[in-house]
Amino acid sequence: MNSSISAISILRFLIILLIMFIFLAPFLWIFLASFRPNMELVRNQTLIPQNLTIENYVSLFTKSSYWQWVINSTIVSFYTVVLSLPMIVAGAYSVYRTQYRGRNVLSLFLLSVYIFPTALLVVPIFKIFSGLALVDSHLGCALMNTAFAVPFGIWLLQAFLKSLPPELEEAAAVDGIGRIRTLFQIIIPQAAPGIIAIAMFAFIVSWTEYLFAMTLLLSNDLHTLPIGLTGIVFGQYRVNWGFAAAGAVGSALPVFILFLIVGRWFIRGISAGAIK
Amino acid sequence: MSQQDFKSRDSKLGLFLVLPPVLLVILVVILPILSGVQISFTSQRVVGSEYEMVGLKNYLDLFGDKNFIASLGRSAVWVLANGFFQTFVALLIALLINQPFKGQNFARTWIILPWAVPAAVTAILWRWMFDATSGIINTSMMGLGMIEKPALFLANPEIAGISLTFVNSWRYVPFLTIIFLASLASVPEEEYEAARVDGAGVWLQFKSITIPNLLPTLTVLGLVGTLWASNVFDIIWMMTRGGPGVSTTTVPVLMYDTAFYGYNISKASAGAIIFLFILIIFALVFIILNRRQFIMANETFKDLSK
Amino acid sequence: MASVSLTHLNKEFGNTLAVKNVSVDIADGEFLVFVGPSGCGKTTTLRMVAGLESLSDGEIRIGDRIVNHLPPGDRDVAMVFQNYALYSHMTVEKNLGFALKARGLDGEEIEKRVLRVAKMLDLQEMMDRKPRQLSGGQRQRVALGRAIVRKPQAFLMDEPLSNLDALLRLQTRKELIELTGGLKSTVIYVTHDQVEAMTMGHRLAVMNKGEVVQLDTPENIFSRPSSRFVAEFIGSPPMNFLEVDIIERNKKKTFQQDSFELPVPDFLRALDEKSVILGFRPNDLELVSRGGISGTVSVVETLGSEKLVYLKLGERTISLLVPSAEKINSGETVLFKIKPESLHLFNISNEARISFDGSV
Repeated sequence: MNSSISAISILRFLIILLIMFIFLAPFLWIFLASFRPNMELVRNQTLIPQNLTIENYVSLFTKSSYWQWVINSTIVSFYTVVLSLPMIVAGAYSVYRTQYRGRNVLSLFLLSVYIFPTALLVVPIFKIFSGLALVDSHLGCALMNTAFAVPFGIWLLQAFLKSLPPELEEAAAVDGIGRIRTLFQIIIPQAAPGIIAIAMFAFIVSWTEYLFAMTLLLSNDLHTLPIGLTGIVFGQYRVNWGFAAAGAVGSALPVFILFLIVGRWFIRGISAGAIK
Repeated sequence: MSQQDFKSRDSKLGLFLVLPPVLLVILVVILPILSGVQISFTSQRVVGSEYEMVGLKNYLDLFGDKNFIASLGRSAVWVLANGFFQTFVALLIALLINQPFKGQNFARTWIILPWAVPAAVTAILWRWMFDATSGIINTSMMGLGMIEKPALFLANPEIAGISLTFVNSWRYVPFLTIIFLASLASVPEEEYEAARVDGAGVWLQFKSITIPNLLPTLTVLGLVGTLWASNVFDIIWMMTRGGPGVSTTTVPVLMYDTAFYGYNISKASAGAIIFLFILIIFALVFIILNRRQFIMANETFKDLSK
Repeated sequence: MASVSLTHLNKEFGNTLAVKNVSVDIADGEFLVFVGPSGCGKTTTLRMVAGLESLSDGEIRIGDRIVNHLPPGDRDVAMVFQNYALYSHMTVEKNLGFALKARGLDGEEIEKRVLRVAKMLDLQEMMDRKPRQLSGGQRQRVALGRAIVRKPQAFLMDEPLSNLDALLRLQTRKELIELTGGLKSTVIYVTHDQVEAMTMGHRLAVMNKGEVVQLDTPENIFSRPSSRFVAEFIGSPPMNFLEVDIIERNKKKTFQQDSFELPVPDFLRALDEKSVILGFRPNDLELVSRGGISGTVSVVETLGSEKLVYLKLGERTISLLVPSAEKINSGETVLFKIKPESLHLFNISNEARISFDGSV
């Protein structure tokens, strides 16, 4: 191997290492911090922890409504995925595969969801959802999350669909297999990685959503994780960093586990079928 | 006499399939905007309170409001800094990670973590890391002798915006990177191989193969990324509340504050509508200028005539 | 099985006419091959029959039904694609039976048909495997099986053998002919490989630039090509062409071009053109020791049992086939004769065949 090539690849590797460090090290840091007593964190900023404790987690699990929040977040995310998936699949199939006037305009229209400052949709949404009895319900939150996940999800999935060979549908058409059946028994199984990816996408959108959950969920026992976490950390004058760290880890952990299990499908599914 | 094409026969099905998302968007976006417009023409202060129609008063007030104009400026700076910066950095990182290396799969799977966790986690993470007394960044820099006094990342009006830009980028760049990675992966390897055999260097390959193939994605992300950046609210609110002073008060922050802390939802709605207008014009101009890319990003597979 | 009738088919793509006035009647049980170079419109024509492309004009009948307006699934045809288009997430068994299931046939009937076709194509061992676990040849058979199991009125095949390696292609060609012959199937077959076309088709429709330029049996097309294009396209090695003038030499009409001179044979006496294009196949030439036309050997290609010899005649090059035992080297000057009955003549301006009463 040519030594100059090696030098470049080493440099590249180091830069990538640095980048990964920047993105992931904070998590490691907060993870370590969550096991240190608050006093130590405030007073003593050494890198190596001197006292390890789980008191922060104990507080988190017993003195706060952590588990309730996790359950609520899971419920809302579940609803979100269940609502978004059919819409994204149908929408992506429609955009990608069929022809009708104004198709391009419609998909741009869907992207308009991202134009309006969310902070101010809050008041009108509250009014509208009150009228629909969707306030203080997990379903209402899920509906909002779906609206934000679907347009981009459609765009992602239709890119994936484009990588499927067109002969597949032509063969099905010549064989007399109806459109719906083709969609469900041929297209969707073939698009499985892409569909998993957008399901994860919708899940994450829902899991991280704060503003509308905060607005729409009035009762404390319906609160999701972001609401709970924000409350315990930012509601106080002096921040208990250890506790906050534990809260942060507790909120990040489910996502972490999700990625452990299905992480590789995410990248595979978004990669327009190139990684087959 | 011609018959309906294979694809357009399904125009009814196509419209039907896309109906639910469209309805949802109407419910969640169009109706609230209309509602917001309506509120902006009133003097309503709080939800449910009494009000009267005041026509364009709110709008005129805002045009003369120095705070508002300033926040527009801050939003512009914010969008420029975040929108382009993030897209650019994300592309660079994607290019770097695209070539195989040890741990590539790990990198590709996990780099997205910052985006996948709630904003509150990000806020906690960075508020703590930026902290003047116990934050790791300050302590390391002081320990290494780089600075004498702790840098007030979030408390210094001059660098607060930069700190927030960094945090916001930290949050969104991974997501953009993944999208770019996917787009890069869809470029056929043979094109690069052919170019290499023809003697084209890395830069030429990049210019004539990578960029053209990437253009549709780049364009869509350019637009959506800018829209997302302009509307960022949670990170700013959680970390600085728009402060110190008003140094990080972008339009969304100001409007939220006006609505819920200034108890003036009508004025806030007017401000949001103005901002919306600006964004719409920007989006329209952007789309029209780049309409080919948007159509390419959207097209169905063509009739392959052999 | 049914007959298929194409009448005045036209297909426009924007401003280009990809298929021009194609009219072909395919009899019940006939194996008809559309053959021609890339871009000639053969695949587009096939896709129009399948219903995957709309017609700009014309009519398609299957049996005695007009099917122009019918969606592909209602035309009762089965198609075999070049890339097989197998459902990669289903097993072979499911691939074979899927269309039948979609049509609502009952389970027993499906199983019966699938099993029969699997036996026919020697796929019994692979029923539980997925396409990615099969070789190219096996996948091709599954694609074929999927079509056969449907008992359609006609088979449409779009270059189904082109993804197979040469040896497998030969073998599969034979099997395909036996299979479709045994089933008495109506087949519309598209290929760019003229050897394939010649060996497989009952009749060939030779296409060029969207039009059918000749529709006939392989033998007739080979011996009486209707134009220079067909003569050059069909037959391997390709035919030689010389533009010659017809002059008087010793009171006899003679074909002449530079140093090339050939007396016009008696049966062509009636020819009154001033110039023609002369066509003769490499295998219709023979080397002689005297009394022939002279040429210089430029390249000798060894084909195995024969050699292909390129001769320079002045500025032009022609080729001839000789037995491989013949000792011949580059640079040599040799003499050759053309069998007069094997001459093909083409009009010098429109390149159409010039035919005569009686023979040629």
